Amino acid sequence: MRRTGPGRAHGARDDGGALERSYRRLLRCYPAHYRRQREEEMLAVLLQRAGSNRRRPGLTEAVDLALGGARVRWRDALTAIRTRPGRAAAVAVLAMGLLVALAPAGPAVPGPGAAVLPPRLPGYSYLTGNASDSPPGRAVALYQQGFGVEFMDFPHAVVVGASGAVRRLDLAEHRAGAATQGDPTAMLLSPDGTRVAVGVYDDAHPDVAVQHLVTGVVRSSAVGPGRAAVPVAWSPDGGTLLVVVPTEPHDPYGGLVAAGPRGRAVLLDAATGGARPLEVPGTPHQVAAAAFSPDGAHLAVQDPGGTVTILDLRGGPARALGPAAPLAGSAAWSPDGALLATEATCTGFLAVSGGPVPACVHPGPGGWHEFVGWHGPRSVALSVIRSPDGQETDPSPVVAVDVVSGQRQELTAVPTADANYQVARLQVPAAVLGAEGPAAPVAWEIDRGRWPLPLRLAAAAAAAMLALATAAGTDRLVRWARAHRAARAATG
Amino acid sequence: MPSRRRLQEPSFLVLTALASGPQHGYGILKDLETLSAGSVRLGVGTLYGALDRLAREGLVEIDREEVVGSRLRRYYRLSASGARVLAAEAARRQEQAGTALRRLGAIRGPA
Repeated sequence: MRRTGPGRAHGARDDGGALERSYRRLLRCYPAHYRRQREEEMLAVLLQRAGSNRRRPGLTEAVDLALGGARVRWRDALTAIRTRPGRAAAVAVLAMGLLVALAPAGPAVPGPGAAVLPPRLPGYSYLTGNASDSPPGRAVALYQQGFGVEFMDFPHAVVVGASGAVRRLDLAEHRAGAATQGDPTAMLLSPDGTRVAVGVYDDAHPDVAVQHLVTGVVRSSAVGPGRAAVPVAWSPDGGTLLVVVPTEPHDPYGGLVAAGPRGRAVLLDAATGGARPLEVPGTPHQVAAAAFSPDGAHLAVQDPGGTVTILDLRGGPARALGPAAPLAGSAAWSPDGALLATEATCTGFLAVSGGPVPACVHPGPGGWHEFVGWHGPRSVALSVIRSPDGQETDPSPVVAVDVVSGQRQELTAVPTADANYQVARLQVPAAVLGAEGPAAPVAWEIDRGRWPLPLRLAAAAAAAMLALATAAGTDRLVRWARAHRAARAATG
Repeated sequence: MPSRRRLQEPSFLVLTALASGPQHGYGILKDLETLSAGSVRLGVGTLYGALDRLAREGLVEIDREEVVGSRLRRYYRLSASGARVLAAEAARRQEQAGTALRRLGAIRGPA
């Protein structure tokens, strides 16, 4: 018999000690109570069988011991279920709860076919996951829902993928500062819906973060000196982003409703992330709003005084159109290049090169709507917040209005739970809005992704509490059943 | 009473090894290798899985413990019910083997 092991003479070589340590490690496959009873005995057999020439356990031996340990543990588990059913049920409930609460989610599956607006966009939900956890894919809509003024009304930035995946744009929610009063910060969907640019309202080193909605990747680009960065216009090809960089922190609610930013204009190259100042002839010192022409060759800019100037991005002379109501955002330029939409109490128009100008589209005496984009050469898409009689809408419709005939057609709508969760800042990519035909009756199944982290933690805590309750309840039930059986056996 | 279900192969072999008298774990393994002319080589984990099962069913018992060379040796022996179960299983196998041989003989006969 070899004499090896801790506290004993090892003889001429230490290989026996190493082998013993290896066997002891393998025997840890068995539960502790089993090892207390069997380890020394099994070790003796293993070492005796190994003889004096072996230095390490063989693979077959290792597998055999691992399977042996698994068998004992499985038997222990079955015994535990029989003897402590409450605890076993609790563990099962807890495991299932944790699995549901903490299981990772993959990215949304791209939907088939073209990106089109569904007849109904998703309504408000606390269970909507974050775009950063599982990106929604190419977007068909982006909007803010909730304004923090109603019961349990927390503002969300909601991005809806073409596949039906709906996510909170957590990037815009997290970059919101105190000035937004809980609203998401500035966000602007690219014309093809694959990216969203997110600004910042108060930062000593302002930047713009562009998130790819298919991959979830975020790239930040510094915009130079300033205190805020507000993305205001994408070029039609999505290659360039115009950013307004104010010298003071931007307060979107300071003064007028929907007060726009004012600052120097910076162009971001979407491919490289590089920033450069807008310096073509006629560029105003400060810019408040802008929109690219459909061919991307011109840029309509509006200074804080309201004057609109058409800049030639190829370096040609600028052309002033004069003062106007605020430009209606990145999508203001009509697809035929003839009109610019403006937005004040009504949706108005500017003729870029002369010609007839349609009448302002009024929301009605008590109504309120926001410009979304162009649905056709003479048709604008409007998000109706309040109906003409002053009622807050549920669902909140997006309508296409023919600016010549006044004819209206509903494109889609967002449920607002009896106006508890109002919708605003709704954006639809130009490629989706300009798609042929009305809202397509696509097969649409809403996927809200993995729950947000606080909800997941709450669910895990709830699972733990449910597990405790299950343990107590199961034990009581089993005790009752056994007592009942014993009583019947005694009387029978 | 032990159940009358069929014995698994490791259990049958371990009972067979113990039929000659009490043995410790390594002794059982060596005996099985000798009995099978080296064709059966149980792993230590498998052996103790079988011993656990047989002990639970009351077919084997601990005979004694010894310390040899500062290592623990635990000897096992066949219980009375273990001997009955082994005898029944051996008879069953013998009967099956006999049936197989008879049928083989019937085939070979006409050939």
